[in-house]
Amino acid sequence: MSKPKIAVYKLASCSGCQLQLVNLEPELLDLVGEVEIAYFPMASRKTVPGPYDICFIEGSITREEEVEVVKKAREDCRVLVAMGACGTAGGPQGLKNWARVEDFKERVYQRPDWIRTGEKSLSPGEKVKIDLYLPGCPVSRDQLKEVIVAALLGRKPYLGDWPVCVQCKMNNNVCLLVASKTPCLGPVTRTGCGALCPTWGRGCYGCFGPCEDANVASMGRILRDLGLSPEEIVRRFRHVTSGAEAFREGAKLYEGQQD
Amino acid sequence: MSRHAANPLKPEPAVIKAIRQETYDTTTYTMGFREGERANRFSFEPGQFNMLTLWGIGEAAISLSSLPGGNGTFDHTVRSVGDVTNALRRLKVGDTVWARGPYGTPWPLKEARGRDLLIIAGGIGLAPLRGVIQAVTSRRSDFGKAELLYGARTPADLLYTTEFDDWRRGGLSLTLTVDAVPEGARWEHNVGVVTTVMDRATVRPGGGVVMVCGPEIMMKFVVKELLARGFRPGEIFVSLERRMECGVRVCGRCQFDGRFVCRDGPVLPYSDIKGRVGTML
Amino acid sequence: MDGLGERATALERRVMPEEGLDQLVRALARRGPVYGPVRQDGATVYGEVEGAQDLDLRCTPFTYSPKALLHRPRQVLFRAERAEGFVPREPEEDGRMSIIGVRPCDMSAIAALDQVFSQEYPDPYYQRRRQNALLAAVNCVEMAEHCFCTSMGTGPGLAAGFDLLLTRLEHGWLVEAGTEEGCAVLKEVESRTATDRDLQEKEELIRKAAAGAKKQLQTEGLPGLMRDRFEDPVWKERREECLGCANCTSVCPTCFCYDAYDVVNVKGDKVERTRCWTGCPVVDFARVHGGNFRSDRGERFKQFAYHKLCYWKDQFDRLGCVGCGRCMTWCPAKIDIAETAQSFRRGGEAR
Repeated sequence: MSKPKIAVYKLASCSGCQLQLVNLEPELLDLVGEVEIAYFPMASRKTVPGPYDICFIEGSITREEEVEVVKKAREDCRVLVAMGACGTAGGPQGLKNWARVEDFKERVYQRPDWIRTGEKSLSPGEKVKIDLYLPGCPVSRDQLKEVIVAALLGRKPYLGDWPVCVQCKMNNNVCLLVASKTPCLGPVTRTGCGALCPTWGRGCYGCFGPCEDANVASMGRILRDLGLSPEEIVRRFRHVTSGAEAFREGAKLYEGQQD
Repeated sequence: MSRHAANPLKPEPAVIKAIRQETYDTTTYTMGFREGERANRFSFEPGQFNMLTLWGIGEAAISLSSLPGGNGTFDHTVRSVGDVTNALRRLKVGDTVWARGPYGTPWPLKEARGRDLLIIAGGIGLAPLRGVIQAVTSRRSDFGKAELLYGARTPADLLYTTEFDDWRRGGLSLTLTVDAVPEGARWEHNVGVVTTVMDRATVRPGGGVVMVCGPEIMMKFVVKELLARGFRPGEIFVSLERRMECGVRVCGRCQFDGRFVCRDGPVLPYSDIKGRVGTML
Repeated sequence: MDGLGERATALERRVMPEEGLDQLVRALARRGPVYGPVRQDGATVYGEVEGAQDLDLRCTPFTYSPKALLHRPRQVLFRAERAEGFVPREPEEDGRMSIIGVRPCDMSAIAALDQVFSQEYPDPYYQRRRQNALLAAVNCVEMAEHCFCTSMGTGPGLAAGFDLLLTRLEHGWLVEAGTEEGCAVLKEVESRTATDRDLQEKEELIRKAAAGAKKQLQTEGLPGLMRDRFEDPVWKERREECLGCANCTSVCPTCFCYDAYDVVNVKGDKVERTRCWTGCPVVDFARVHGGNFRSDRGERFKQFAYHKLCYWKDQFDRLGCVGCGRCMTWCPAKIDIAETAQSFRRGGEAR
């Protein structure tokens, strides 16, 4: 039996999620024994034509031609996994969906005239059917591995879409939100990161996107009580997963409000 | 606290001895434990369940769908809807499954002895009742009337169709119904949900025991109809299905109203559920 | 348990000087790792301690319980490898350990967990940790803001179940030994026999602490009332604030629910069946194929409250809440189960 083929596509992104695949060392060699890395321009010049069994797509669509890449990926792949904050909820470049792209170009680049980008940042899921969303900025290596292993075993991956808080307590972390009044999106953010930021004393900034049934209204009130201005709350909900429905809703509650 | 040598969460190897495809998505596996006393004799009662493990895939609660076989075998009829049940489909005769059990409460076969028996099943809900039917048809004179009302989505979803004639010969009266008949399919029985054939049952309140198993929403309507016909809550038995991680009243997942489906159920008299919360019934 | 600890059953009662505490920790450390309340990030959590200087035995609201030491947040149940025909192996047993600084409410919670994990099919993972644990409890001589142990009959004093029981006196520590092992540890520490005055002082301190309770929950007949008025909207109304984050169940010293899954290596030949904490506030908790029995957040909070204050009574003839106040302390939305239950009672009277 031939080995399952894996492909990795890239759209507008920082490549940090792809890098996590390379970072799977020390199990990378084992992985190569189980699957064929058929298309992964970042890691290998070798390109094996499709169809592919598992395809990871990193990044968001910011230009028209990227829609074609996404459609091609969908056609070529049996299981299409959108990864990262960009692939699942717009990524940092999704911020332009709530602003004028020209303003960003002016402020970020020395030569804005060299930049060719569309008005919006769309997740691949807005154009084609995605079989699995693997969030995170970047995605977690363990979860990435679990997705591949689960696909090889023919089962659903065990990812856990409960709030970061569950993981945080398992780590015996002191709750930052309660004990040190540090703004933290843990209660409304999906776990997968191993509660990385809170474990190091930083409030969760929501990079895995909202957990199921996230209560953004209550979260917003809590952040407000901690002294955050409406504008700061909007910024927190938008951050790198501004396209996620629950966070969009959270931002909307405070958008345009005066302090 | 007592020191317990045995680990209740530890499964034991069981070998698949036969596989029978029931429908496009449902399969019956006949298994037997590979080692120890239970290899030749595994006792359980219809209505109980095992926890089945496929290493790397996970563990799932699956009802036993037969009487204990003479040589220690037991059946599981499985619909492929989850990880474990899907992975089971890829196994062949001779492969190993890991199992622990039996757990839970059985159907009240002893109470039904000498009395009428009405079985109402929907879809895969017939699986945990198959052992009851085997018991009744093999010891027919122990029971009064024996009637089965069985409903499925389409004719292609009916389980155990090859056993129906044996069951009839064994003295079970069968009434079949399907929700819908796809174009071109042959069907000479009733069309409609299972409650539409309830008037065909001749078992009357006070005379016997009713056993109901199927999707919870179906059981809800069946129970409602039974109560309307005068059956008492204590005469109606249902089997609940919940998520379970342990099967031994610890993990908390199957809890409803302070009860645990894995231990206080899955088979419960409706009188124990009535007025309680956490079920649709 | 009367919560006042007056009738503490002890084999031996002695008084150590201030420095005795350090000797005690070191005596315990000779038997295995010692865990106790330590300061971390503005709160008190259980961590490994080497001497008295590491310990913080004050009763403050921002504390964690010792639950995680007995019911592990993550526990490998079995390891199974293809090379061994997937015959499951249990992980190696941990050795002897001591837990010092366990509060009376937490002792009551451990007694509750003992019941949960030693039913018809005792759970070997919990049992091993539990049997390996020497428990050095400490009586509370002050009440924190959210404490309502006096309502639940679980504190501020402890009556039984301890290996050692400490009470901070004005001069030194009263140490009571409840087991032979406790007595043996006590022998390794500089101390004198306790006098009637010492015991009177302890009783007085505990009585004073109890009198300082700021929070009450009237438990009499509560399970029955909750059953009778199941549809009372007060519980589900919490859905507006409840985040579903499961901080309450995680910090609750009696919450025991778990999830189980297989961790597999890339080659697919090594499996670790693992269980981890989960809780009823999480959406996934009651999900089955094709549906969810508690898809509403308010329903899920209600399950938490009902389990603690109503259902537990049916199963174990006691309540599942010990009045430690942690669920409300650590709830980012400040949902207060005791206050909610009290308003439920008042609502009933009003009608």
